[in-house]
Amino acid sequence: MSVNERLLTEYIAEHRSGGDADPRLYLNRVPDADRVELAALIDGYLARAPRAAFDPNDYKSSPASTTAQGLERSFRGSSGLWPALLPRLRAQAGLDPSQLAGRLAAQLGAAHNESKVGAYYEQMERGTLPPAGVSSHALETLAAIVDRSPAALAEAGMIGSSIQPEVAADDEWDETDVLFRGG
Amino acid sequence: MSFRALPEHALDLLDDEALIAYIRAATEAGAEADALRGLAVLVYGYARQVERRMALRLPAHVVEDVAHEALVRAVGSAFHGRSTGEFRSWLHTIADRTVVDWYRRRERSPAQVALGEDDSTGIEAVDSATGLVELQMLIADLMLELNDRHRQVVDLHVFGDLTAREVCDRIDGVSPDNVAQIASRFRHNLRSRLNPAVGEGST
Repeated sequence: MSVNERLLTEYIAEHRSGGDADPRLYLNRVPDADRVELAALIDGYLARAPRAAFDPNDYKSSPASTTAQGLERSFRGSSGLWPALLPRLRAQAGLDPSQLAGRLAAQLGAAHNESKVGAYYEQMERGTLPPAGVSSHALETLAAIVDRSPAALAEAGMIGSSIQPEVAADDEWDETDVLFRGG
Repeated sequence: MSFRALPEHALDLLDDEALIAYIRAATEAGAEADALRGLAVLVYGYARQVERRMALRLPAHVVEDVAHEALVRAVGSAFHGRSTGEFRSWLHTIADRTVVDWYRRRERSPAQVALGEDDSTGIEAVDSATGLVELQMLIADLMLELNDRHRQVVDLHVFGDLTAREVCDRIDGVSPDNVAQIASRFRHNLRSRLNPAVGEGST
């Protein structure tokens, strides 16, 4: 049995026993020349491994709980996957909701109406603002802040939503509404 | 359409496709807590697998975030009927794409990004993210070259770590010697294809 075969066997045993099974620790145990093969074998195993059994105690403190909650909000709402994605992207950008609202308002040219921009953004995170209700300009500005492409952000919002025309401007709208919602 | 709530232990026994159908039915019935319970079982069941695969490709400090994004994209599209094939394959395909997207966003050539370059583990680069995606394609290609029975042998013996005897118990018409030969040939072919990547003399 080669070193890589032995390490793959050890890796699988650790994974199946519920251990950490950190693949990097195994890769560190082989010379550079063998590392790609071992990585491919471990990766191949993981890609074929069945779903792990549910452990309610471990789940509560795991990142999976945040993911599941975000998805549930998304499926219930009307903003596609934004409720599951946006809070995380905002956090990756190092911003809390009010900081993001401030930056978004400033870059949209609506710094004087930050609270309204913040309210719209909050609706996107909550899943209550349909993607058709967000202008291309607002989406592009938000995408730049959270380091995603506008197309990727738009696609995430559209998943599960029917294609709708942009919202028509209302007589009651002010210039911030027009900037954020189009029309 | 009537919806019947199931306890966690029963959800755990459903296959992925049935679990996704359950989550969809619960959502449509307005049973938020039941939908969340189903999502918990599905997401928890794959989250660490996705994270481990990403640990082979990404710096440690971004693994959790990128895994979250992949899970959201894969489960979200499967929920809305926009996935193809079985969920597990779809999830890993999306995970690979999400990793490539991460490298693209960094506007760096993946080959220049050492695996774990900013990690405390100090592990050397295995390969680029794209390289590892290509490795999985290489394995998929090798598997496609096998007939159904040989493919099953490789799945069970090489990637499933069953002994040759256990494999024989599951597949009619193969002997332990056959299993060893098929697995050995597969590993040899894998190494041969990898040779250009791993350099001369690593046979």
